Amino acid sequence: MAEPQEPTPEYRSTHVFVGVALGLAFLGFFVGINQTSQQMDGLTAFVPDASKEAPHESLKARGYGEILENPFRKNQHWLTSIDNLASKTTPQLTAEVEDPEKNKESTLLMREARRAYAGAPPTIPHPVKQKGDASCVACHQDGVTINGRLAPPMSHDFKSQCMQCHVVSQAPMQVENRSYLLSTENSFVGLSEPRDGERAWPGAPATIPHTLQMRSNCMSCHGLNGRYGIRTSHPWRQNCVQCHTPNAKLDAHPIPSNLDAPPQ
Amino acid sequence: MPISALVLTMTLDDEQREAALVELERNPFNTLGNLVSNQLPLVIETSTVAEGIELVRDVIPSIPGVDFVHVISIDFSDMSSRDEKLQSRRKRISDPMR
Amino acid sequence: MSMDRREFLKATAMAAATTAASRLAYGETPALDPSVADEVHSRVKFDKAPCRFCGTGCHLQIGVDPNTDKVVSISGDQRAEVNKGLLCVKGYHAGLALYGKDRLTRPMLKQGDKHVPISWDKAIDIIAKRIQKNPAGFAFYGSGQWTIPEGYAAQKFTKGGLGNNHIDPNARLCMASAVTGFVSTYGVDEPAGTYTDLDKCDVIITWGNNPAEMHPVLFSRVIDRRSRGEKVTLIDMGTRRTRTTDHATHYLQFKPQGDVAIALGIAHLLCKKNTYSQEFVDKYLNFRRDSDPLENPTLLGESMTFDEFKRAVSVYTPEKVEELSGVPASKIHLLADLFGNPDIRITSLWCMGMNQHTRGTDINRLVHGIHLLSGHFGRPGDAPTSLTGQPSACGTAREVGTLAHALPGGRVVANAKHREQSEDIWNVPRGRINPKPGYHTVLMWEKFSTPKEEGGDIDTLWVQVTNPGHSLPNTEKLFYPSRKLEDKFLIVSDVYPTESTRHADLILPSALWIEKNGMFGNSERRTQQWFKQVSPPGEARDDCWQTIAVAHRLHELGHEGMKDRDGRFLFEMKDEAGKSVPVWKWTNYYDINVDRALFEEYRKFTTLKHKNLAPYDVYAAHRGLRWPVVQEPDGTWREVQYRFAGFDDPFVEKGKKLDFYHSTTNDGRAQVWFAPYVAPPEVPDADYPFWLCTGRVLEHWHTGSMTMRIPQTRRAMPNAYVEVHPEDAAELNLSSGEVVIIESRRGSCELPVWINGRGRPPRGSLFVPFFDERMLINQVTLDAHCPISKEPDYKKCAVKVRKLTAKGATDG
Repeated sequence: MAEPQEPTPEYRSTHVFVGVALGLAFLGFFVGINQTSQQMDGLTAFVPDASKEAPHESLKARGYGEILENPFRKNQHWLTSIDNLASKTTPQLTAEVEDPEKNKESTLLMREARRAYAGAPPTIPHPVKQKGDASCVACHQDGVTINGRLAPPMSHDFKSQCMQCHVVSQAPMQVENRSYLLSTENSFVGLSEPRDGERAWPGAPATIPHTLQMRSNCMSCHGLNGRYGIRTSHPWRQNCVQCHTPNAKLDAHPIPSNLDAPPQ
Repeated sequence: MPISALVLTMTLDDEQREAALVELERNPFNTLGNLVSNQLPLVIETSTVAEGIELVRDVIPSIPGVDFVHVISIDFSDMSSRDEKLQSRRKRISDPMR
Repeated sequence: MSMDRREFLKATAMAAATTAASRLAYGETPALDPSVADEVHSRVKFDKAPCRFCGTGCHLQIGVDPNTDKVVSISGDQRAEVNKGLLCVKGYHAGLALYGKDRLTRPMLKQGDKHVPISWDKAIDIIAKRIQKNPAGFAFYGSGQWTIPEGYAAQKFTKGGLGNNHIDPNARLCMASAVTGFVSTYGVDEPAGTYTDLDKCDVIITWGNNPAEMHPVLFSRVIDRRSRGEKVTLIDMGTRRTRTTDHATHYLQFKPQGDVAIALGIAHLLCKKNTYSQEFVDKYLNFRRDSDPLENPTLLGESMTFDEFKRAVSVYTPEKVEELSGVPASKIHLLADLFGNPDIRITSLWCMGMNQHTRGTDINRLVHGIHLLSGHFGRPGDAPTSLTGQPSACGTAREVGTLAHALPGGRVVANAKHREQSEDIWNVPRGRINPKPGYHTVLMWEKFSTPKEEGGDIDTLWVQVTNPGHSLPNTEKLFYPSRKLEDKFLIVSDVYPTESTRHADLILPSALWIEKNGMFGNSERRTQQWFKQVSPPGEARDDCWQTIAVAHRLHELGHEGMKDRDGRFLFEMKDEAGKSVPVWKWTNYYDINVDRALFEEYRKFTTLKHKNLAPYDVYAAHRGLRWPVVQEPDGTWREVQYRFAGFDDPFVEKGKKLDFYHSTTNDGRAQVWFAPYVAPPEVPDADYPFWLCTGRVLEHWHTGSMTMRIPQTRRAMPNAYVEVHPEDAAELNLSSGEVVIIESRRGSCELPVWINGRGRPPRGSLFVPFFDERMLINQVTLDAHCPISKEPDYKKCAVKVRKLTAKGATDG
């Protein structure tokens, strides 16, 4: 096999690249660099979900006379290291879980707001780079909580092209004053998030009430960093599917397949 | 007894919000829903329409930690007396100017 | 007043407040009433269907709520070999495409400036009477979105019924150069390799191709191998940086048309360094060229010796190629060394970059040529693989042959024997099929746009499953003129209002995807089947039914062509008891499986050129099978992954390693073509200084009539834009979001600028996606086309850029 002459962007080098990506992502996202319009590439174009943003305090513009008394300084959230930003407390697997059902309904409603139907890939509620590199893994590989915002870990195996399935929920650039000739309404009603799995008797472990669709990391949503309402009450038990079985009906594939036989 | 469905936009300050929630919970006519992000669903029962207006217009917004009050719906179907006289808002405001 | 009632009122108020709170918090409405959610989950029925967007052919599992007869969920089919459970954002949201609020639900006739609803009977009658009046002036325009049975019915109706060959699909604008490339190289159309090569190759080369956005599932299939520790070298060759480039080991940026020079440069170095495969040259290859490549190129050309071939390519030294393509000579060496290494497996991928090209046939031939010359062919992982942009460009346009010159099963109208075979299968009288090829797409629309007295002899044009008002090149010349001519009648069957329906004389509402039975054929020769799963809205009906209904109305009007040899209706169908079923009546259309009946008839054609298909019921039980599908002695059906390769293809002569059994030279050998570099027809100059390239984006498919109605994809990419290099933008004083006018010698289009956006064009180059019906870039593009395939070049023309705001400031 011919050796290529250039360094390859294989994912062995994920660490270096995660570092760079982190720097970029956090600088751009949480600080809000003052970019000129020509540099704009989608990072600064919108602020999603303002209610979840850290409380920003914008500095007032000042005249030349005021600069001495009120010099330029870092703003309140000039924090560039993930250690400063990320939540300091690592959840304890053995700690008792308080009220795992708390806010369940609002959590499920929030999940539904970001998906066309239960099991659909969620849209991205924050700005992203339009490029195809996998800078998403900087936060979403292991998951992180920053200023109260949760970046959940991937629920599925690593895939190289995040934006193949996950697209932004708001475009980075939109032209104003262009009416659509087409209707933008859609009457699709998706399958909503399931509420409860079936239980053989009260207190028995519930079956998994949703399709798996290649999602293998239950802790992505149900772990201690997950949202209230769908968290596990027993994080110390790590082998989820030992007791919670997938729902045969939901993951059923009724058509006999040529692939049922092992490929030669 | 009118029933009003409201959504309160709560402050992002955790401490102040908790205090506001305690304050809201104290009123026996209030039923609090689950906080969705910083939006609180709230149902209030009052004996008169006037009382409801007072709550929505003056009392609730004045609680520290409540940023805004959205009125979603008011149900009058359960009112026993329909002869309640209400001053119109416009008139009250314009009175001092006369 | 009971307490219960008060509690109920309070609960209602709380539900309203909670919904509102969720909406205020997240700007969304919850999907369904939570209390019924679990109940719906328990009754959802899942069934298989291939995705109806690009040519990849992913399989989906579609969840339908039988109580509402609506799609509620979609998941990737984990047991489908194409996608192994993975989808892209379009696939996951494909079900939403059915539910846009402005679905067409009634036939509508243009009266004055308005479209007024009419009955189906009247609509069918109007069409039939126009055709009856002038059958030779009728043309059918379809696409690779026709299902196989739909395309087959349209084909039989036009060629076997009307005896008129004016039927062409928009695949002409998409796949025609690939077809001519395959046919002139192997003597038969469609790739020898399959997607399995993506799992086996060491090197993958993308020729002017951006699969990261256009065929994301296939791109993930190859690139995700890296995360499993495998080494995959990706060489991205393109005219702009894309998401594919971000994963590339090497990025080779070439000047538009430079791909031809690069392929020639590789061929030259293989010869010069003696790294070509002697075995292939001795046993499996002939060499060929066009005697007059500029003035009169042909599909078959003339033969040349290997020595002549060597001399012909010898002018394309790496330095010469660098000059023509802009790619450094060292990189041409790099490519030639990869091809010269017999120990690695190389897969080439291409799509519109090579096909929508004024030398489209040539570049296709050359890429096959370097694979064959170097011996990188016929082993798992070694394949020149052409991708398609539509779900059934292969299955319907190419295999059913809904092209102006073709008949099903690789037959052509110009061949008397082929016509006889087809007439026999269709049971129509001898001489029914017209030996003269009909009008290809560009010519068809030119004839429709030209007044009758000036030779425009097409007066009724029926468009199914595509949107030519948006996707034809140079629409000012090819689409709009007929709209001002009294005697030209445009019929458009579609699912949503589009640029085409807006200008149509008659609009027919169609059933979409899983609202009907269907079959597709994807890019790897895989034939796929699905059943109707939900009902179409309002009066929308299957395109196939529309064709059969018009045929039957013509039959009633006494059109002789609608009768077979025995005087029976051309589309007569019988149920299991042998009783004739009036399928031309909508109420009876689903009494039998019309798809099955048409497919079983079509299947007889497929054995004529070793493209054997299995019976319908076998496809119903599989997630697609790759043809040729042959029956084993035990009665099971076996698909073929590697065509022409002795170890897999049953049609290869016993004992041979490779056998090109459709060789145009009848000696089992493939043709390696020489084609000279020819400059593009229009290059930037002082007046029009920019290159313009057009294409797609991940979120939208084709003209966006479906994906722009899916909230998730529309919100992510709500409008088209023009990508400009930052330095060009600085020079023109443009900033992101600012609207500019892109102007060519043919037309203009207003677009917002996006700098450092999704793709990064080099200086002097622009890119515009074509999906947005409010920004019709095809009013700007060029209709110059490949002389052999007749496919237009949407990828390069000269334009200028002007600010919209500053009037008169034309400093483009």
